[in-house]
Amino acid sequence: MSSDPFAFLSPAAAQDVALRTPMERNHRAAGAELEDRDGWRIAAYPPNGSAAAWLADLSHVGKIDVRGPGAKIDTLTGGSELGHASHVDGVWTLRLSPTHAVVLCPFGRVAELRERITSGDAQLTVVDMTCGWAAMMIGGEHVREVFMRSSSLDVRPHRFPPGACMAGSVMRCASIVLNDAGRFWVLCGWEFGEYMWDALLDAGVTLGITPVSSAVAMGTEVAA
Amino acid sequence: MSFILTCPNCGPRAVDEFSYGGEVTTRATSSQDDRALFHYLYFRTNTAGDQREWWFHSSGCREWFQAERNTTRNEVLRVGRPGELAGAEAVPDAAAASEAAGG
Amino acid sequence: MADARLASRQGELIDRSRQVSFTWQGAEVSGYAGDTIASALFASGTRVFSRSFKYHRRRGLMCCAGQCPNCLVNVDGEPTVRACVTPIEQGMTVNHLNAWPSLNRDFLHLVGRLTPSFGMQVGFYYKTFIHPKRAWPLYEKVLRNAAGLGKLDPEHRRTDRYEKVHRHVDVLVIGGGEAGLEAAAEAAEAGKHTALVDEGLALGGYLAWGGPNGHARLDELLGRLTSAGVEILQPAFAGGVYEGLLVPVYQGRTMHRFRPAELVIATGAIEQPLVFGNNDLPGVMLGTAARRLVNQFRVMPGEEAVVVTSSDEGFEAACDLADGGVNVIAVADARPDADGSRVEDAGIEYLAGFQPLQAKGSKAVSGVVVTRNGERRSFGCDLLVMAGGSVGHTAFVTQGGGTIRYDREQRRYVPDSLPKGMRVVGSAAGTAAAAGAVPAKAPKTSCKQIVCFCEDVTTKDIGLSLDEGFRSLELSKRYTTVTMGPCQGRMCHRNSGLVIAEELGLDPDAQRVGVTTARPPHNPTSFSLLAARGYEPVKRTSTHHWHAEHGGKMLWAGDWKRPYDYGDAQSEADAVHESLGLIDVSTLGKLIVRGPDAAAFLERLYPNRFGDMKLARVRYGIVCGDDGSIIDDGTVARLSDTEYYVTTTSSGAGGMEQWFTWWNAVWKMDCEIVNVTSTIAAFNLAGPNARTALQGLTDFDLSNEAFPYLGAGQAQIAGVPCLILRIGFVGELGYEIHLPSAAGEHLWEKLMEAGEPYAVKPFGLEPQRVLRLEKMHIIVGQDTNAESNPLEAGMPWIVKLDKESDWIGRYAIEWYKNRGDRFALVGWEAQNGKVPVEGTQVIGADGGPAGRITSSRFSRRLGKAIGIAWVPLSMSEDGTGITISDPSGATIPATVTHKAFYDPDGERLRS
Repeated sequence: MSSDPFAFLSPAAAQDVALRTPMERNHRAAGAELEDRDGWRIAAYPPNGSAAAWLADLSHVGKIDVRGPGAKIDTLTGGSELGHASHVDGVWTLRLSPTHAVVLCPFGRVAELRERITSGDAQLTVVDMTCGWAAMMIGGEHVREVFMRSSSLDVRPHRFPPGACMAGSVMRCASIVLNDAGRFWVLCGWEFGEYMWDALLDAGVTLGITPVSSAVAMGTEVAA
Repeated sequence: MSFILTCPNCGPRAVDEFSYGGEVTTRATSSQDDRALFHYLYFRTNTAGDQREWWFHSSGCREWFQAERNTTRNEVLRVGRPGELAGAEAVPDAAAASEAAGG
Repeated sequence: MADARLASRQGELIDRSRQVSFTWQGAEVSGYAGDTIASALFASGTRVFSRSFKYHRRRGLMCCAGQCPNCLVNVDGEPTVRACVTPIEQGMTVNHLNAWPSLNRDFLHLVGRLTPSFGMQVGFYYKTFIHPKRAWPLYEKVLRNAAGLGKLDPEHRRTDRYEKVHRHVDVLVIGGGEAGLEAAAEAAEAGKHTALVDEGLALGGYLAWGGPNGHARLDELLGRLTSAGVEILQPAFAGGVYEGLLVPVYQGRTMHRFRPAELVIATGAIEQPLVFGNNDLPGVMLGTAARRLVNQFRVMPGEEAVVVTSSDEGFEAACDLADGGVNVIAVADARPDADGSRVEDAGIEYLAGFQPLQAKGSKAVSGVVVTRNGERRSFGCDLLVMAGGSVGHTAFVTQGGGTIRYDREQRRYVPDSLPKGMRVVGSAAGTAAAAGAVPAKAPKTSCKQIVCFCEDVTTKDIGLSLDEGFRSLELSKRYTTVTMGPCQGRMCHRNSGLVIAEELGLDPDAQRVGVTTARPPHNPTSFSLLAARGYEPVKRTSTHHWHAEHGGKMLWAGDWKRPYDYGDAQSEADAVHESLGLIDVSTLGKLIVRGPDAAAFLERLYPNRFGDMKLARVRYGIVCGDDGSIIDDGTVARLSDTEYYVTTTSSGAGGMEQWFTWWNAVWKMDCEIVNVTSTIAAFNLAGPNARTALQGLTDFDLSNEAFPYLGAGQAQIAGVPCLILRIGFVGELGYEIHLPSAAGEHLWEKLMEAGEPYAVKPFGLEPQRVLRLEKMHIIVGQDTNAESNPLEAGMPWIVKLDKESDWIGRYAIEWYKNRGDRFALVGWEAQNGKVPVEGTQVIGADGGPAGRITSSRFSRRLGKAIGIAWVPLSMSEDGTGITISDPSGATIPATVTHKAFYDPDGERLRS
């Protein structure tokens, strides 16, 4: 056995493998180029995305599931209240229950962060869920309108301001949603990725939604 | 069913985000008393009124909690994480559990 | 016909500068922007809008407010559209719903004229058309053609996009009358996010349709609404109020699913018809309807009018219509002691104590007969206005969980208790004013007196239902269908109650008759709106497209799409036996159980033992409910002292996560459960050449000595970090490889490449089913059901009744053990080459069913039909001959066997 009993959950340990997101066929069909970056094949869309509404595939982002005693999760999240996320050095930490948090980070930092979070504490269960959730981001002027066509979750600005997060049903799939400076992350099961991508694009079709590159999405901060 | 149920972790949500776990029951711990065993396994009080029950937030945090619900009005009176609501030993409803596990 | 409109006046809705034309039954009609279909048609001379549901009687406009069924039409192929609340659009095609060959010449009308013995009186379905029996198909054809409102075109495919939007607001107001506008303005002015829905074309209710007096107040309210920022949905309608104040609001092609924190019901009151002979003739109209036509659409509802009333609302109508230019000849008031001076002052004849007996005319109203204690008066008129008093619109109150009570003073139902978050304002909440008694029906007349306009229920039908013993409102409703039509009783709740009270000799004001329930949908609603954008979540494995691109027949398997086979199930199974096969088993549920108590937790959850497991080993386990039934099975691998990796069945994945976390919530043991089903792809490489093929991709020593059967090890395979489980569901040497989903397609391709020298074949679900059956491996849910315990299912070795700890299912299984087995799950081989159908029966000594075939397949490898069955203990001995029934009527002889059909000693698995 390897020293990490759960090494087989970590795509970062792959060597000479081009990792693929669940939406690879969708990107190709939409005419995107696939570029090798950070061990992933990442979709590059022409840079003329719509300002009204856009959707990006961020499935290659690192995701870590952390469970353990409430006090330790408090320490990890900096005492965030339920439904709130902290954002430090490009790492999001989402507080979903007293004993459960989810970390979103650059893919290259998963191993280091798992190590740091665990730091020998047997009471914390820290699992690499990078391939557990397909991740996408909705953005643009009509982000809320797209979302309201996809979910009964309440995302009115005073209920779901930047930095808020929640677990709930989107397009009838168990999902995690995060308001990142007015852009909404939607995380769903990896196996639902393709369905969710199609469904969100369809939800936004009358609002002029277009798929965009992940780099464009991450670089676009819009007013909350 | 379209009532609102408040998850202790996620807050108020439409009930279709949850799976129903059945009445909170007390587990039988012997095979010697047929009556007590069968009562635990197959009989439910089916209360028309306030009832303590299990719910799982299957579309959300995926955690179990308990709710007190008025079954005639479908009004949820209070909710709590396991152990937070005072009362009898709380174990899964054996009949509903098998159903949940099978689906 | 030329458009005849009255002179322009403040408050009219039409824009005379913009003509809009459409077709009505093939002929072009034009109206003005702002017209409804009904107002434009009425202005152009149309008087008959529909034929009634059962008797195909002519029907004209009655309510002009979307409350009655009389103007339901087909618009651009969509049936049951309410013409009186639907704006006209250029080029729309409007047709009637149910006449043949046309509205004005409808032969189906003859049905109602047939003799009573062959007619469609109440209960005719059960009485008239039962003899002779063989003629029923003919009757049915005729009746089906005559009944109903409109037809759906089965070939029609929707091309328009329908939308569904979830909306959260602080306050939702249903109804844009004065009270609704006031409530909305107040809420919004207090800073609440407020939306208001109204189904009319103009806000304001009576302020808008009741003549010029209300305009100033309306303008004031609209001004407040605008400055406070109330969102207005109009024309749109609430389809109902569901639990938790869920309100679907339909607007055009969009369904808004509102979840307001507060719901304000401002639905107002609905004017009621009066019951008298031929009260459904075209030209008989509610007072509010006639006033809408005059005041909002500037159309003359008739030249000469008579008003029959039982309330002061009749006076309002008479004066307003007279003011609008209608020649109102007389007002007949059923109340003997009301003060009619207001009518007389306007120069209209006032008849106190007169109630309508019948309307005259065959195709339209030509007059009316009113009566008082046997005295009769006749009038000629082409408009007969009914003002039967109004009732509060309380359907949404009761739908939302509130209750209503009868108020004797007001003679109507008013809200009693309200659910949390609901408020009722305006006339829906009740008025303070006392109301006069309303005559239940006219004195004896030979004409039909319609109570329920939707379903063509007459006073006679209700009388008959009571005579036949259905002596209550609820029973009569179910027998006659009164209140069950599209209007859900809005035009007949009150009157049906009055008629029944009178027939039964009850005091209608003593509330002994009750009221029926008005259920959603509140208005006719198209399926397209209900369906809108459909969501059908589909789970795809990381290699989904590889399968599809390589001939995999992708079928639904639970929520997943999986390949049934790749075109040739037999040769795929052969490949596994003879050389090498590869199957995608990513759909398996996968759980991590981790923590100091992980072993103890599993010991309490399974009948098996796990605490004694060595590291890097995997074990088969079953999960039982506390009733001892088998609810799932799978493998458990021990990765460290405190870390286990559990697989479940594909269909049980979600359920097992719930099951594990549930018991952990109860026991609060020191361990965590993490569902990694999505995270991990899994492939099973199986066949005699599996080791050699796989060894080429990894440094991990796969030799039988280093990595024996039931071993578990981590390795890099083709650069991918994997967990390898050496298990054999399909009966040959096999490696189940678990890896991160994102590398799934990469590794699959590498495995196929490595298997190329061995003619590897991908295999689907069907060959897997044959292979596992050859090994007599059960499928939980197919070979077991809710009554299957592990003792009878042939797995007593799994059940460790001597475990020190308590475990789930223990007491029920002990009970079963004490009772002794009654059935057994056994294998069988057919003796005559036939393959039994799954689900068929094993026949007992008495010729009756004794057992059940749960799995059945022909195995080419073995050259015979094999399977699994539940049989009574008396038939379960190895070698017993059993008889299996076949749907053809023949029987299939078979022999019971206990050992696996293929490689019974597992030598190939362990090799």
